Amino acid sequence: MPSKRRRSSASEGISFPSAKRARTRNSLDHLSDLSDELLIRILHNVPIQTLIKCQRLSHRFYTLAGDSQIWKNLYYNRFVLPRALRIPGPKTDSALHFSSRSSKWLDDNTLLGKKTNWKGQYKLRYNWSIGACEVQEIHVADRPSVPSMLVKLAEGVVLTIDKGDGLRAWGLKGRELIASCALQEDVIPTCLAVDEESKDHQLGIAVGFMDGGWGTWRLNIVGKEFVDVYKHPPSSNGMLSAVAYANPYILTITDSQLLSLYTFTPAPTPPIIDEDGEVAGEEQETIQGTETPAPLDAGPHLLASLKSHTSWPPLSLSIRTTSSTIIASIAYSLPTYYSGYTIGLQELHLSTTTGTITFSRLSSALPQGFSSLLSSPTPSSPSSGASSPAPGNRRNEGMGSNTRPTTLSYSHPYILATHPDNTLTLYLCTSTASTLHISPGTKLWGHTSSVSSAEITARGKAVSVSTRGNELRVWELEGGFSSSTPSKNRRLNRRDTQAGDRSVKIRPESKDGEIEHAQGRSGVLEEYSEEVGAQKRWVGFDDEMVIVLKESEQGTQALMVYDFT
Amino acid sequence: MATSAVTEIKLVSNDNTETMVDRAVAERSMLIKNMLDDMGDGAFEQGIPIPNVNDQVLQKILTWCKHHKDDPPTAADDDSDSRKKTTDIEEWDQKYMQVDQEMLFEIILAANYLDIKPLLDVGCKTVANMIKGKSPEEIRKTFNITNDFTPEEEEQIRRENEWAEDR
Repeated sequence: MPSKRRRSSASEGISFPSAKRARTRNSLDHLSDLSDELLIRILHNVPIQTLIKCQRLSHRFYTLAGDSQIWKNLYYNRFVLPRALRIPGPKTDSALHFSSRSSKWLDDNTLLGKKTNWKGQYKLRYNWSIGACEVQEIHVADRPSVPSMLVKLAEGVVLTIDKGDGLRAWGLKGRELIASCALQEDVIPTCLAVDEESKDHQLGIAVGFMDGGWGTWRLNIVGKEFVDVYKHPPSSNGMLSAVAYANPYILTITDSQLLSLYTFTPAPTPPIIDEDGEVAGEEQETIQGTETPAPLDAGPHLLASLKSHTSWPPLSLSIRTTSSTIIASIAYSLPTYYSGYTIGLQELHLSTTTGTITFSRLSSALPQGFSSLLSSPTPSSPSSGASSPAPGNRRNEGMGSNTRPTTLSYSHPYILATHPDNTLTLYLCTSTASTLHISPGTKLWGHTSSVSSAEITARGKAVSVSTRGNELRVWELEGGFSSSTPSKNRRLNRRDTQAGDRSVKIRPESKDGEIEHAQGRSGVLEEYSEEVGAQKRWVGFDDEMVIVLKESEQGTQALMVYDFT
Repeated sequence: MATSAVTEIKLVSNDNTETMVDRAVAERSMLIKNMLDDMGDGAFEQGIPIPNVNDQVLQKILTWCKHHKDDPPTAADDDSDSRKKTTDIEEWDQKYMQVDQEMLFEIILAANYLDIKPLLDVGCKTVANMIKGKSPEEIRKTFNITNDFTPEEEEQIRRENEWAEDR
């Protein structure tokens, strides 16, 4: 029952706090006569700026204009529908207009079914889209770490590891240290990975060391403690340069490009066996017998190992599992003759039932500026395309030689490389049962200094950070991929020139910016200067926050937390 | 199905005024349409009582129904955004809605009661257009809404929503 608030006609223009509630016919507040349902119906028709003004009208309007159904609708129309429209394919208009029953929500449907605060969600997405956030700093170390500190972000927890302070976990909600554990005396961590399939507030963590050994820990986020799970002895194969972890699998690669895949499961897990009809007939099945005997807690065993001669750092490892296959991939940089570096991708497919490699394949992206005789020439230069393939037309646009990437972030299907020449390159992989293909890279402009780190998610959202200067950029890369290949994935051809418009520079809110500077002056970082002193070393993000590891000239290290909520 | 289809329906407003209208016109109201479908034509020889609506408003509603009697039926899915995203109102409806506030809200209430979705939408859009682009104080003035916030509370809400202001 809606509360009815009225005043008499005499009160027009003057505010009488004790509104008359008597139902008089000369009451002028006809709007408040309407039921909540009808008022919400009306509010569905006003733009956001008006909606937030309506919240200031009265208590009743505050509730009505904050109604989740209205904001859900707004969220859909602004953030979901544009993506849905980009997916090629038959579209029925009705299915793509907002309806709480039949709308296509794409992968945003994780928000459905729960009691979602749609206004809050809208605000979050909106802040991302314009780069608005609050900044806070968590001080993590007084001195530089050699080798540099390793950082990962997962489930609202930032994990850091370095020789001096060991493995530590920082909670982002409270901006505080929640757990730490020291490392053995003489081990030096060189790579860090978080289990991509972590759940129930437990994070699986894998760390690779200088001496070739590695270890896994489990972080209990609620209980705030690290549990030492397993230590793999040092190995003569040398330093581990990258590690990936998708329980129960661990993928490591050494400095000398020796790739190893381990598993913690002694035998194939029961649900997977059901699928073995698909892989029956694989010749390696006999090997299974040699691998099974280990009991569950007896540590991992090596599933596969191979030496790669082509994988130059920087590289990025990843493990994907499907019902019947484990796909271990290495994304790496690759020098080419005339256009500098490009990237390559090697995939190892292993059967989950037998744990043996079914096949391995390689692909690499065409260097930028290279146009093959086979592919159709760029439309703008039909004459030069056939005769002089090498310096393609794109060179003139500054796509020429490609500097060596400083980091690679691979999250299927995207590979994002950062370059010292202020750019990023985005590649799209297509991996099917029969083919592995990487699209030619798309240059992303926007940064004004060397890009030191970037991270991309499978949904195509990326965050990148410049080495110097306070420059963070958020990219929405999905759907904006230009490619000459027939599109199997969801992507539409957009002009390359749009690449520069796809990012948003993060601008911390002004008042918090001041606080940040104030802290800089009074706190530990005496001479802290945003523009010159600090080096941004690493960036990671989740749905609500971006985390940057920053090292000042004095060597103090801090995590910058950019909060978008 | 009754083939001897009654083509004229008698409606009785709450002030006991009787009006004869074409069945097609009356059936723009889903309430009336469902009543006729459920009860059969014979059941309403005395006329259909419309207890919530007075004659003046009923005549106004019927004017709209007559003009729109040949419109395609609306989708059954109320939830879907047939309201589209625009607050565009076709010209005839705009003219139709040029009434005083009291009548405007009577139309909305009656359209809601009689279950005439397109008319309800036109009414809601008209109100939305009256709200749009106004400051809270202007909206309060327009509709005589009583501000039951303290200045501090209102300021707090303003700050809470600052992020969504002008873009």
